[in-house]
Amino acid sequence: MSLTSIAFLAFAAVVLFVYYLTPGKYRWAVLLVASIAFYISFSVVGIILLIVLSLVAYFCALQIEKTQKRQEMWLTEHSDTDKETKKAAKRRFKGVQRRYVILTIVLCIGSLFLLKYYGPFASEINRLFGTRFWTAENLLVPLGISFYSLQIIGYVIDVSRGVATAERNPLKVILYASFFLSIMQGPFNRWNDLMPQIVTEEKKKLEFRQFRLAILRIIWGYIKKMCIADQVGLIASEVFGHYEKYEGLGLLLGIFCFAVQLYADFSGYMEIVNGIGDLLGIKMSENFRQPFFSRNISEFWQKWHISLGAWLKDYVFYPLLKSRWLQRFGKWLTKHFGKGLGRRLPTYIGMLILWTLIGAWHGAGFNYVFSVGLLQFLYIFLGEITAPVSERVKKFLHIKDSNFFWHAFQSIRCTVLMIFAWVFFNSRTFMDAIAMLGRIFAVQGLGFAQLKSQINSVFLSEGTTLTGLWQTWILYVMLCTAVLLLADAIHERGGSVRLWMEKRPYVVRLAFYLALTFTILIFGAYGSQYNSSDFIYFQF
Amino acid sequence: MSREEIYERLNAVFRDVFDDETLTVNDSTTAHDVEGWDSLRHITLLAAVEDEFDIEFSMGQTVSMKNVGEMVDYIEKEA
Amino acid sequence: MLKKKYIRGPLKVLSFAVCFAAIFLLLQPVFIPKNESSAVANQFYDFAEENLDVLFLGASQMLSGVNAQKLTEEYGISSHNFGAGVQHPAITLYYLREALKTQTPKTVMVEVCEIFDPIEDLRDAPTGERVAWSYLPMKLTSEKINSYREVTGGNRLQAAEFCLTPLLVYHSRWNSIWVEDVKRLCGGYPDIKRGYIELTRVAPQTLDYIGDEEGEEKAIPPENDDALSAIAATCEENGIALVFFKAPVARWTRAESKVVKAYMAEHGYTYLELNDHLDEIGIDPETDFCNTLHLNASGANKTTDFLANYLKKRS
Repeated sequence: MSLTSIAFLAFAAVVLFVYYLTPGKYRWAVLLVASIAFYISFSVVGIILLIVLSLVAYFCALQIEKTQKRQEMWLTEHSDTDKETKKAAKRRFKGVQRRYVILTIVLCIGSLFLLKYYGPFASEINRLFGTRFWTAENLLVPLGISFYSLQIIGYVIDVSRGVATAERNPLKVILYASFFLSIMQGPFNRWNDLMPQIVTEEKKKLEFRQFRLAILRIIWGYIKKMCIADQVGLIASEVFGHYEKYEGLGLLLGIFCFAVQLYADFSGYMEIVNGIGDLLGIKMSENFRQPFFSRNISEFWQKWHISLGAWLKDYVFYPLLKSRWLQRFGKWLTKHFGKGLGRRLPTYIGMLILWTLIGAWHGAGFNYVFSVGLLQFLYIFLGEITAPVSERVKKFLHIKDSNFFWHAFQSIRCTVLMIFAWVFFNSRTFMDAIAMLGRIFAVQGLGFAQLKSQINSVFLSEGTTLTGLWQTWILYVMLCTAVLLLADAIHERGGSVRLWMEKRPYVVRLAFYLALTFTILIFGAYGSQYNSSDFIYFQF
Repeated sequence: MSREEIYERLNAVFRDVFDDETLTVNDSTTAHDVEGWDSLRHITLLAAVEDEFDIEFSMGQTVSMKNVGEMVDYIEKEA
Repeated sequence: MLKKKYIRGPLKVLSFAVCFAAIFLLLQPVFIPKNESSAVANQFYDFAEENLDVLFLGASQMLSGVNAQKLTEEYGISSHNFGAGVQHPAITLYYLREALKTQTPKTVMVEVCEIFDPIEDLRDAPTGERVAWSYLPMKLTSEKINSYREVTGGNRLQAAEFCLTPLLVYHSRWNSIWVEDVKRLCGGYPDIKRGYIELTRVAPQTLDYIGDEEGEEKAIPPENDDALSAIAATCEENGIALVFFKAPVARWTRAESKVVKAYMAEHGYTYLELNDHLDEIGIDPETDFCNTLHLNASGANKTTDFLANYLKKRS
C-alpha cells in the first residue's frame, strides 16, 4: 500500500493501537507481523526471498559468534604458546568467520544482481553483440531488495567485527530485514541502533506531547510529498517525458522542478517514517541535514541520503582502503613517487570504486552509474585537485568562509552541479539527457516571454496532464522552493517549528493546524484529477 | 610503553598526516577538532599509526573509534 | 464542578472543528467551477413564492433564447427559465422535480437540444464541467445526491462527496482560480433576469436547418427516452401541460428534427419546432445569433414574442 493512501493510514493506526496494547516484551512481534503484512500487500512472492536471506544471515551470524568463542577458548587454553602459533590460529579462526561473511554477501548481492542488474545487463550485451542471452524478463525486482540485502550484510559483518551480538531468535532477524518503516526507501539502520529500541522489556508509554510532535512531523512529510513533490512533479514529468517539445527556460523550469520533486519526495517520505517511528518510540537515522546549504559536493553527500553514505563508508569504503592490495599499492607508490601520491592515489582509487557502486546501487543503467556515481567522483576529485588554487584565489580576494555571500555562492554552485547531475538521473537514457541539455541552449535568448508561451502552449495545452494558469504555476513553484528553503534554514540554525509552536498561545497554534490541514486539502495531489504517484525511490 | 611516549610518537604521525607542525592531540581529541580529519583521511591516519606502532586496527575499531584516547588505549594494549 | 483540565481538551477540539467547517464552507464556493447557471439556480430559488404560468427547462439554448422577463412584464405570462449551461434530459427531470417542490406552473416547456446526447458522456466525466454546472448550484437534498448518482453511474460515496463536500472534488482548481471566480462569488451576474441570460454578441451564421444538406439521422438513446417519459408522467400527475420545443439554432438539421417529431408523435407529446417558423419569428441569420449554438438578445426577443402568441393561443 502506498504511503499516501488511506489504507496505509488505517494500517499505521491499527499497528499503533495494537502496539500500545501489547506488553513491552512482545511488541517486537507486533512489528514483525505488521512488517510482513506490509510487505505482502505489495508482493507475496518477494517475502520468501527476504525470509530466506534473513535466515541465511541468522545462521551465519550464529556460526561466526560460535567461531569467535572457539577462538577465545583456544587462546585461553594455549595462552603459553608462542606469538607465531597464536597468530596462525587467529588467522584460521578469522578465515572461518570470513567464509560465513562471504557466504552472506554472495547470496545477498547475488540475488540483488540477478534480480535487478542481470536483466538490463544481458539486454545491453544482446543489443551490442547480437547475442541471445536470457534476459530474466519474467523475474520481477522484489521490493526493497536494495535496502534489506545491505542491512542483512551489515548485520553479519557487525557480528564478525564483534560490534554486535548474534541474535538467537530468527524471527528478530527477519524483523530487522523487513521492518516496514525502512524497507521501502530506508533509512539504513544499524543492528545496534535499531534492535535494542525494538526489542526491549521496557513498556514505553506515548505521551501526548510526543504524540503531537510526531503527528506534526508526519503531516509535514505529507505536505512535502503531496503538495510539493507531486505537484511540481507534474511539470517535471511533462518536461522530461516530452523534452523535444520544450527548449530554453521551459526545460530549465522542468529540470528545476525535478530537483524540487526529488528532494521533497524523498525527504518527505523520511519525515513520515521518522514520525511514525517517533510514535512507536523508535528513533531511526536521519537521512537529510539541509543538503542544499553545503559548500561543496563532498559535504553535500554527507547531508543527502546520509544513511546510505554511512553504510557504504563503514562496510565498503573502509574495508576497501584497508585492504591489503590497496595498502601495498600505496606503499609501492610512496616508495617510487613520494608520500603525496602514495597517500592520495589509493584513496582516489577507493573513492572511484565507491562512487561507481553508489551510482550502480541507484539503478541498473549507465545514467545512474554516471549521474550519482562517476560524475560525483569527478566533482569531488576536481574539487580536491583544485583546492590549493581555490585557497589562493580566496586569499587574494580576501574571502572568508564565514562570509554569508561566499557561503551562498558555494551553496548555489553546489546545487547547480547536483541539478545538472539529476538531469541524467531522471532521463530515460544517457543520450536523452545530452539531447535535453543541448536544447536548453539551442534557442535565441532565454526570455521570460518565451517561458510564458511555452507554458501556455505546451505545458497547459491539451494532451498534457497539467491544467491551470501559467502564472499560478510559476508562483507555486517559487512558493514550494521558498517553503523548503525556509524550513531548511530554520533547521540549519538548530530551530524547530514544532517546538516553537508549542510555546505559542492556543490561537496561534489553532491557525497553524488549520493552515496545515487546508494546505493538504487544497494543494494535495489527491482525487480523480491526479494519479497517485509512487515515491521516486520506490523502485529500489 | 608509557602514554607519554605513545603521545610523542603519535603527535609526530598526526603532524605528518595532516601537514600541520603545530598539531597536538590528547585523550579527548576527536575528528571534529582536527581540520581535514574526514572519513578519507581517517584511513590514511590509521594506516600511518599502524605502521608507526606495528599494530593492526580491526575493522570494528576503525569504524567505532570515538576519540584519540581510545586509539591510545588500544596502542597501549597491543604494542 | 467540572475541572478546567477536562474542558480544555474537548474545547480545543471543538474550536478546531468549528473553524475548520467555517473555512471549508467559505472556500468551497471559490473553488467549484461556476458559470451563469449558478445565478440562474439561485434566482429560481429566490422566486419560490410566486406562482408561475410557464416554467422553462433545458440547457443554455433555452437560457439565452427565451426572455422570461419580457414574457412576464410585457405579456403578463409569469415565467422563469430554470436550467443550466448543459442539461441532459435526465437532469431536466431532476430540475423539474426540484421546481415542483415550490411551484405549480400551468405549463412546462422543455427545450430538447440535448435529446440525442448519450448519458455515457456524463458517466465518463463525473466531475467535469457538464455535470458541475448542472448540479453544483442546486440546493442540497437527497434527490440531488440520488440524481447525481444515477446520472454519473457512480457509488454512494462519490455522490456524497460531490454533493456534500465539492471542495474535496475540485480542490485541484487551485491552479485555475482567477479573478472571475471571486467576482462571480460576489453575485456578479446582474444581467440575468428570471433565468434569462442576455447575450449581446452578434455573429452571422449559416443555418443547417434551411441548408441543402438533410443531415444525418440520429437515434434517441434509450435512457433519454426514459427521462422524457418520466418528465411527461410527472407533468401528467401534477396536471401540468407539457410542451417540448426546439429553439432556433444554427447547428440543427432537418434529419434530427424529423427523428424528434416522429418520437414526439409516437408518444403523443406536444412538440414545437421553432426552426420551422423562422420566417414567422423573423429570425435573421445575420443579426440574431451570438454563435453557432445560441441566439443573442435580438433573436431571443423575437422568439419570445412568438412564444407569447403561441402560449396565448393555447390557453
